[in-house]
Amino acid sequence: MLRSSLQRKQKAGPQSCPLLIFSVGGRRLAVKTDEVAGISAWKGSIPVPSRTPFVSAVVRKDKDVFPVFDLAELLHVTVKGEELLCLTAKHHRGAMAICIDEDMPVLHTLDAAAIQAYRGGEFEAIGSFANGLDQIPIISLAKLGSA
Amino acid sequence: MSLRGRQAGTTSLAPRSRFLIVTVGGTHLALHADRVQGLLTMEEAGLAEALTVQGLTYARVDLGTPLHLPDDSEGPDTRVVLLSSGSVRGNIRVAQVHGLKEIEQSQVLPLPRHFQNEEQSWYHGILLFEESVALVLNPAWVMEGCGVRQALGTVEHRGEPQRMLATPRALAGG
Repeated sequence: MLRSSLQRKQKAGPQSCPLLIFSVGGRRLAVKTDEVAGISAWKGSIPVPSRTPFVSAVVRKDKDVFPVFDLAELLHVTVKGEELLCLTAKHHRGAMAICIDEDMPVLHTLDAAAIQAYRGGEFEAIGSFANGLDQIPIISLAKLGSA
Repeated sequence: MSLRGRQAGTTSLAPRSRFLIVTVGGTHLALHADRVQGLLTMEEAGLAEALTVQGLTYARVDLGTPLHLPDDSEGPDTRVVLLSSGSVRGNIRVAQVHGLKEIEQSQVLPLPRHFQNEEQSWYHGILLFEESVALVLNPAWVMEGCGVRQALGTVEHRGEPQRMLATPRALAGG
């Protein structure tokens, strides 16, 4: 009985990978949804003089203070829009904020088998996938800035 | 002991710290108040790099350069903060003094671990200030700057300023 149910489970449909697709400076990126703590309005950041690449500001949310990772700077782009968004990422050093374009992120479920290698080297990526004519990298938020 | 007496004694016994909140280059900084010896106006301080106040010399500490902060120390609210730590004394120019803030030590938030570089030695943490934050400067790092200058013998002396504008004790009342 147990074996048959296990076998049934193994034969179940392809493993799915829930993603959130967002954009920074018009460039589309994806992240695994379990690496995202939330999306909120971007209310500006507070500069913190620093020598750490791409980490030179914090945002304050009520009584909490989160570091800001400047993904736009890493990608050499400028975030687009009047009403920017704040993606709160789960990072292995603690939650951090990332300013993203005003375009509302969309959820996308991907067949894990469709994940291909990502050849760009500017950030740690889990892989990439084809979306129309686009090849969208799946960025690893947890390891961002660790390289 | 009466109940009223107990109610009156609700003040937290948690260790507290006092900070002088200033602005340099648009950034709020928090200086440990026990290191602050006084404040001078620019009129009192003059243009000399080092200041001699009551026979003690305070070497100039430039925070703007290491922190890459814009120089905004020429405004009407500019003050010179006199700091000391043991025998090491320094003065820093700040664009604005906001006053003293006393908080429980537990309210000083640690610098997020994402800040991985030498800034870890610049700051003791972060505290909430108005709608923003203030960076708690590590006094040892601040005084390191003037310690080096004093050791190099580049201290310039000038006459004593006419008077101290304010001390942390005076600021606390205002």
